[in-house]
Amino acid sequence: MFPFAMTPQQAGEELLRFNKKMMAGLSSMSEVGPISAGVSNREVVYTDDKLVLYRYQARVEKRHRVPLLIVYALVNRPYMADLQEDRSLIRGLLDEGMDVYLVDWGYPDGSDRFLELNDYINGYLKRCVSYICEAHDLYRINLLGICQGGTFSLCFTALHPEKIRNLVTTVTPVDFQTPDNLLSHWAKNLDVDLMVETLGNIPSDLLNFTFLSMNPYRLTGQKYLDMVDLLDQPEKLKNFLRMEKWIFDSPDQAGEAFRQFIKDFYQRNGLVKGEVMIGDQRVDLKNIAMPVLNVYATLDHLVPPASSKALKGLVGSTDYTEVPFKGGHIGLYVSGRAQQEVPPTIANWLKARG
Amino acid sequence: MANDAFSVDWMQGWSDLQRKIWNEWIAMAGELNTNRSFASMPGMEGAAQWPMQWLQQAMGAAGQGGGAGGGAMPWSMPWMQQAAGAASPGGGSGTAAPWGMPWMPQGMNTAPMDDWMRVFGVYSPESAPEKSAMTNMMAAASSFVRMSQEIFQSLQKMGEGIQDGADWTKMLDRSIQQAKGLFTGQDGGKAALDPMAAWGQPLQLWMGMLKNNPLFSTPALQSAVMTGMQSGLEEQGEAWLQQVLATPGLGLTREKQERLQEGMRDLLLYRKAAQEFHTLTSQVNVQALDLLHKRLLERGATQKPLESMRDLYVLWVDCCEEVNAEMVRGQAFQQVNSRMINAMMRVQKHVQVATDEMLAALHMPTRRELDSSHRQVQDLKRRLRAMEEEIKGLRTQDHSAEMRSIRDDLDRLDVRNLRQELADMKGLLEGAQAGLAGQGDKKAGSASRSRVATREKPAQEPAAPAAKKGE
Repeated sequence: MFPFAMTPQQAGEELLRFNKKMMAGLSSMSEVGPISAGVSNREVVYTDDKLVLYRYQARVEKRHRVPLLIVYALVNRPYMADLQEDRSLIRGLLDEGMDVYLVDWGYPDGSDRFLELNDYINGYLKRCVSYICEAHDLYRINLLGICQGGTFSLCFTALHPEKIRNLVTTVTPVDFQTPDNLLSHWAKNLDVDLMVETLGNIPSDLLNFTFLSMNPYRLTGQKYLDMVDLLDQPEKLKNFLRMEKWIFDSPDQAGEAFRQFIKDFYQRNGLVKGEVMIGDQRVDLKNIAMPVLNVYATLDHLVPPASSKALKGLVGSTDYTEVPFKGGHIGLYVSGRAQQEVPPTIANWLKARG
Repeated sequence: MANDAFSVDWMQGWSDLQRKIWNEWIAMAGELNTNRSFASMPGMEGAAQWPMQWLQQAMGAAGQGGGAGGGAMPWSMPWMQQAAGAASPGGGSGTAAPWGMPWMPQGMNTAPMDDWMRVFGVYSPESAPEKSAMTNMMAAASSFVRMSQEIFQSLQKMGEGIQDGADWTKMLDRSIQQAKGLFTGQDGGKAALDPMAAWGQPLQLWMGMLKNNPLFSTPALQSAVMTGMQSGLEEQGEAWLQQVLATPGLGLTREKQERLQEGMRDLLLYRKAAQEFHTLTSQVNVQALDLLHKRLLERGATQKPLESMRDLYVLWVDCCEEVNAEMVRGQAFQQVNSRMINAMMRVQKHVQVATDEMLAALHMPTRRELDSSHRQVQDLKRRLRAMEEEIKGLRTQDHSAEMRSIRDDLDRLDVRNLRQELADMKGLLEGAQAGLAGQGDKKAGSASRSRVATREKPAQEPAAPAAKKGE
């Protein structure tokens, strides 16, 4: 059978519809207005160089007594966790009674080129945790890491287990050399020393280019063709543009921290081998003896599930829970189903552990 | 069903469709209400103020002049001249634009979609992310419409063939082979379809940095290398250049020349690596068409025909992604990609060194100096943080236990007895002095021993210090 069942009339009508939509979209794009992100009310409670620590306003009368600090990655901006009213991990956690804090690392510039992982983990992050402990008169708090922020949370908790009561990791790379890890495959032969010596901070465009290269035809072509279908739906168009803003609103990466992260984690797979050094301290995941909740996405193309699941055999905790989410790397935070599943899962797990 | 689809003249259908689209655009242009005028566009100075005026001018001029090349127009844009040149019998490559419609004005004898996209680009939003999304949308739409047009033409040929009793599978195969030419560029020309144009932007950005490379101070060498970058050096020419670059330098500028030669060798390596990368990645489009061919045959066999252009586009994207995924997971891509990026970094490093030398000569801050300063500031910040934490620790440390311990020690010392002991010693001294005088020696020694015995008593009473501990 001939594989096309189209008449010229049908195909013509389709193209005409497409063009009409696009033409109409010219004005809707101009009228869409400013694209904002980050919807939950919050206040700045602590600053440290470019870092800002936010505390979110409660949405229920009684908050959980142990605060939860969210640690985001250095790549992209943390408002992904609070993108819009109906797609917000933070809002979901607030509704569940969590007392939420968020680390915003800011946009590094040339003066931050020599920031090391030690500065991020034993410096900025440690001071944020200390601040919250003092503010709440507590010895320990709960920690939630997102992607690279999850890896940072693992390092911090392994180095300072006395500061963390419960640890939650989401889409967190642990084993950086699983066979399906494309980023690791690409990074293997890169001369990162030369790259950092040459570029200083790593430009965000380079990282975005790398991420786009994973699905170039869909991410640079089909996606925008699909966008034409949204042009006559202002809310959906705005949501699309909000996500578009988040994708390309990427900070540069502080050179030394980038060098260390690529070499020690991606190229040497040091976290799994127990060889990562933060400052003069070795990261031993066996030190993580408190309860651990590890949430991963089954369709994650950036952090393959196997990479996250490797945590199970490495931590010293006897209370380890693994939760798969059927979706992708970003879907775990912004998809409609995630709003129903992820915040309650995390909050209930934390509440059960005091 | 299949034969029904080919019972009409497809090209007539396409022509009617384009006319319809064209009319829609004209209507839309008339409705656009904006303050932005064409006159603000580069190359459009003195042009009509509004789209409708522009269209009338264009069509009027084309109607009067009737000549190719757009020369009769009161103004022109570079892209229009190029398009018209290509379409004219004697102009450009002589290749007529395949999408030219007889009813369209001369000088606009190119893809109407492209024309209008350029025109309406001026109306696109100015702020991100709307602007970039709009640009990408237009690029994707342009590819889609062009692709649709090619498919229309292929289907028409196939339809005619099928009506004449030809084997559609062979015709499909022929069409796929022709389509490959669109992606690879025929006769060494530029590919007509570039689905990865947006993807290529960052790469072009990176490559663009080489254009102003201060390394190439010698015009001849600069020309030689940049020509090679653009069109590919002949092997012989490259060997010659390598030989030149291997010549040792002499005298005062020896070191500089050596660095320059090294930089140029790295540039040649980068050029080679970039070509390897391009060769490897461009195979994706061709292999994806082979996969598409396979998928179409499967659909034919399973009685699941495609029912829209969009379905076909999505199927093609799926094929591209599948082929691309396999390619980027391979060892070849890993090596070629790393080689290109590493080579690019080496070239950039030379650029930086040369730039620093120039800046130093102008007594301006260099990147090296800035790096040193930033490193020092970072070190100082670390030390400051460490001291702050130490001071904070000292301030908040709990000294009460230590204080109690010191107080206990003080209590045990029994200051009264110490005074007594001092007095006793003084007495002994006086007694010793008096002994020199004779008689009083025995009395004094006896009193002294008695006082020492009395003094040891309180030390044997633990009650007093123990009571103070609780204070």
